[in-house]
Amino acid sequence: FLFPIKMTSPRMIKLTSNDDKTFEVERDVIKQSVTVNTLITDLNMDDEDVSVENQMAIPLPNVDAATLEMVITWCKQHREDPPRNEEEEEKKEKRTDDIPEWDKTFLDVEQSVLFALILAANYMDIKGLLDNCCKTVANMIKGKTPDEIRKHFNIKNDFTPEEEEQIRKENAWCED
Amino acid sequence: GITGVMSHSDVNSPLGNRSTNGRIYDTSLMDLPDEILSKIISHLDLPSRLKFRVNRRINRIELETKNQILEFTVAESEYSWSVVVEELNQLESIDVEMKIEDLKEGLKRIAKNTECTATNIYPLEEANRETIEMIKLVICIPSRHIDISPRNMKDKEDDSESTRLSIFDILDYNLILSICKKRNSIRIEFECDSLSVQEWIQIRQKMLSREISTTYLNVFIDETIASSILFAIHGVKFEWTRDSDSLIFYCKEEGKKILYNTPSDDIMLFSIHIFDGLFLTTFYAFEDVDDLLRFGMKMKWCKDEKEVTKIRTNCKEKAVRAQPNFELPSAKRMVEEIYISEGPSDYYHLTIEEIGGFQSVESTFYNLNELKRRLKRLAKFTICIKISIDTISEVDRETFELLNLLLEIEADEGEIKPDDEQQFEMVEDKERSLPSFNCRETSRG
Repeated sequence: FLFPIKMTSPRMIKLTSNDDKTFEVERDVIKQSVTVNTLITDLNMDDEDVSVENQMAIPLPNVDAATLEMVITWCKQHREDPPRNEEEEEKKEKRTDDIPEWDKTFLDVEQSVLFALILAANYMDIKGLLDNCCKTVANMIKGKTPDEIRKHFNIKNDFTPEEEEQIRKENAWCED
Repeated sequence: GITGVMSHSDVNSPLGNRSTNGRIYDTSLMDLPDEILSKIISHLDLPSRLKFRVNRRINRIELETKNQILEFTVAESEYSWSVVVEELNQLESIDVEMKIEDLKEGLKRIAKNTECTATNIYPLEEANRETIEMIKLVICIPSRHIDISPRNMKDKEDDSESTRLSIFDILDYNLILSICKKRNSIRIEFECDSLSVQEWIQIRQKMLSREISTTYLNVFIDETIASSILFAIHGVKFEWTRDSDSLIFYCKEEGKKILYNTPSDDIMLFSIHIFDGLFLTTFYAFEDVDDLLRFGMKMKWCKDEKEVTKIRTNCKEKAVRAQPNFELPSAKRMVEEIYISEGPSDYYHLTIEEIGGFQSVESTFYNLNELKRRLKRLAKFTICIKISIDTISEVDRETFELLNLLLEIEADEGEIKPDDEQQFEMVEDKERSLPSFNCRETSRG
């Protein structure tokens, strides 16, 4: 006997970026964003009877299309990740050598792209992505002198000569 | 309406069109909000976060971001101080050596937003003004535990007497109280002679009433002060005679109920424990590495009734085991192995394995003097089948001192595990001068 197998397609959610581009993404993928997840629950969007065509798109006014595309790619890659244990994560706060290889490659982008991604991850409340982005920036800072850091990130030195002298004295013990 | 619906089946490559994608990004590091910059700072080790203060805003955020450190140690040497910082989840510790002038401002800044699990201050016993300044700077760094112990610098040439001050002068009531206010656990291996009996009783009272957060305080005090404190608190007097190693108490019947004393063992000459509910006060005496008699007082809040019972049982067991002729060689305790291994950052493990290898006790010593004292007592009270030492650093005076003390322990067999050839040669020289020690090269496990 052959029984017809009912194919259930994954539930899709629509997200709209601030430059008016809409993305369809699997519900299971985007659940990593606490912000989106809360909106879906609050707006009763988990209702099976509403087809994706008739579904309202969730607006993300702080995220542009290119960044949102990256966020979705990251979420797809990490959909199978076990739930985060915040207590454990806190314990290894200072570790920056534990970024997964895929993420290292994925986050090897221009600084401005990385910072846009950080802002998006923060707004969408995706802790894993935010953590790995912040660790990537921390790795860029480590081992550099203050002048090298200013140059690398194009940061203006706004200290007065007195303030700068004080900072120099405070750093004297850890100078190379 | 919905515009530009995109499918994501084609956006799963990590190198997909992500860098530009038709959009010009212009976000810079300084566009990130304070909480994100704070998060980035929290991923930095201590030197990196201090160097990251490249403008006023980051300087402010760094100050507002709490920093957790495992252990902060400063140790005085002849002309400088060494600073060792062990951070959470950092494989390598920071180890620098410099003059106090280059450390002062850094320590003041660190104290503003750092919390350590433990701070250790190892000054030279005869302090100078710099030593006192350093102690005052380091105790400003909040920590749960603090250890202030003298560093053994016997080879150090004496400075002119007039420039040296006694470290005891600064360890007064106010300073000890200010250390206590911020910490759970305190150990001061200097005789705190400037405090009166009444001041010690006040500190004890503050601990008892939980007015201060300290739950453990261990200090060296003078014997007469120790005796007077005990008398003032519990109406118990004690007399200890070094020659006969006997301890005599003068107290009323009710005094006996709270007293538990432990006779000589391989660490202590005597210990007197007085329980006040879960609060334990211990008076003890031991001989230090230079055979000097030291008295100490330990005040501690036990965790629960179980811990109290354990201490009481331990006292009773020791009392039963003790022999009147304990000091005679025949009364020495036999153990399987005494093993010392050197840790990576100036600490030592001492393992004593009981006969049959069923039980072993491992202790960690951050203070070399403490380990030396322990070895001296072990030599007096222990016979073992095997003694061994495993060093990882260059063989220096300290290692040889340890080796000499280890050799004083009566043993059938000895083993040295050298790290490199040079070290081994030095050890071999040692062997020649001490032929009774059966030294053989062993590869490190």
